[in-house]
Amino acid sequence: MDEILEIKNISKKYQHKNGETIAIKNINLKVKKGEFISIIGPSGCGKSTLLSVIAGLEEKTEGEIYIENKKIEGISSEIGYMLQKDCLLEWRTIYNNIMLGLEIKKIKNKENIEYAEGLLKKYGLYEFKDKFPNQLSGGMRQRAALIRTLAIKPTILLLDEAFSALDYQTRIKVTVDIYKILRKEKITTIMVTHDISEAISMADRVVVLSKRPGTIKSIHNIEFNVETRTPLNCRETTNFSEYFNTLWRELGVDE
Amino acid sequence: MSEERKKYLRQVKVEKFLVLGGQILILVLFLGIWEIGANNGWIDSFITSSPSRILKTFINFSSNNLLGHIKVTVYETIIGFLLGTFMGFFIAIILWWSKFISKVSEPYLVILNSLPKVALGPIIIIWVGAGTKAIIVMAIAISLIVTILDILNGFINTDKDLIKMAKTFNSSKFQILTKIVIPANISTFINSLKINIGLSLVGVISGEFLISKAGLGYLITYGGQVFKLDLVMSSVIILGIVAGLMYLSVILLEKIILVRKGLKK
Repeated sequence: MDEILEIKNISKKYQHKNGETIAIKNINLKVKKGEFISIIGPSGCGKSTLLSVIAGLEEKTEGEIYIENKKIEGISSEIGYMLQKDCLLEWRTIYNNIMLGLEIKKIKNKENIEYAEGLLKKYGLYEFKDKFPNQLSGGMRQRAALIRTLAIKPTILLLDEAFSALDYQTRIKVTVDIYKILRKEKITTIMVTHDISEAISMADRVVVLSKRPGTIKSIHNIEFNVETRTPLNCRETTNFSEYFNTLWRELGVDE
Repeated sequence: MSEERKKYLRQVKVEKFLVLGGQILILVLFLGIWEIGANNGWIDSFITSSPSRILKTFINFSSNNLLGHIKVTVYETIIGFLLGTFMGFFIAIILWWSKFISKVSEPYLVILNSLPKVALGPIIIIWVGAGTKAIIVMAIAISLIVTILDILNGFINTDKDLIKMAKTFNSSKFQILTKIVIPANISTFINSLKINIGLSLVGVISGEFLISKAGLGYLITYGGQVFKLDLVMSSVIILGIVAGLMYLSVILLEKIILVRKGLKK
């Protein structure tokens, strides 16, 4: 598989009154096309900062980012980003929420509208298109948020604790749901999470970050012997608990 | 429908009826005691007037040109209200846009906010002349700063995640303003409308007190000076009704907007 994203020597320093904080340091990572990467690490290790830097929402202090060998600066239209909350605009219908990205980017043409409508149909939200977000369940809202992000046709998707605001049951359902969509659309994904099980259940590789300043401590390949893997059925395998124990020790939660 | 449900619905109805009945009863008792007291000389009707005399003043509407005075007050209030609200809204946008301007102007806004604006009355009269203009400026002076501070506060407290979400689509600051910040603050805006309608009325009445040419504020001072308590009381009552109606129209506007924006069924 080809590499789609290369992160080269990324560091991020924050300046404030009482000095400076190094949030992340010398991060190097190559991501293959269609791959799903989970990033875990102790709280405050700079996981979310790393994601913001890749998204171009925050400036990096050092390093470079390449998408398909092209250096990118700032916010790239190749990248979609999902936050912890679904961030649907309560005053817009689902349809108009989904068109938001196209509106902002001023690419709301016939082709893109049809593409977005197609996503709505494909993922069962078309009949809810005239409803307002508060009339939808948490899972459906998250799916709508994903479609809004996918409508701009990103090749890389960044998930920043995207499911942690949901209750446990909905969360499992949504991860299964979204995992399927991402595989179907062949979207390369980097997900930051504090939940080890969630990280393993979805990822091809799990990246473990160290305490602040965050550096890459280790990278684990995740493989399961199951047919048509989903984030649910892989949880039942023995591999899963082995991965879990390894990562748990790596994170050093007990220390 | 089950018996229980019927019983519940009946209870709700009875409660509603009792509240309304209580409200009417208080008014009737108040007016009744006032009228009887004034007729029997328990209270001095020269100082307190009486409901029947106030009613007479109402009936002789045209002799006092009440309608003309109401028109003047309502006109000044609406103009002051609209100008104060929209100026406040635009200044709030400027301050949201530029953190620098916002920081620089902060101490001045704080002082202007706590200053009793009525104290500016004489200055305003000297600057713009003793007329309608001065009264409108007075209404603006009273509502403007509060509007700026309320709306700016709402803007600043807009959900940061919504703004971040818009930024991931590479939105401009103008797009963040028009697509996120302003629509997210519709209820802030409506709240400040509700406050402003009252404040503008305060500004107009105190302006009319000072300038004393026309309007309900003028009628109240005039009536007080010549001891025509019927006129004073009538004007106060009309003022109450006018204020209530204006407030109701804002509530109506709120309902229309919220329903259209799907924020309320």
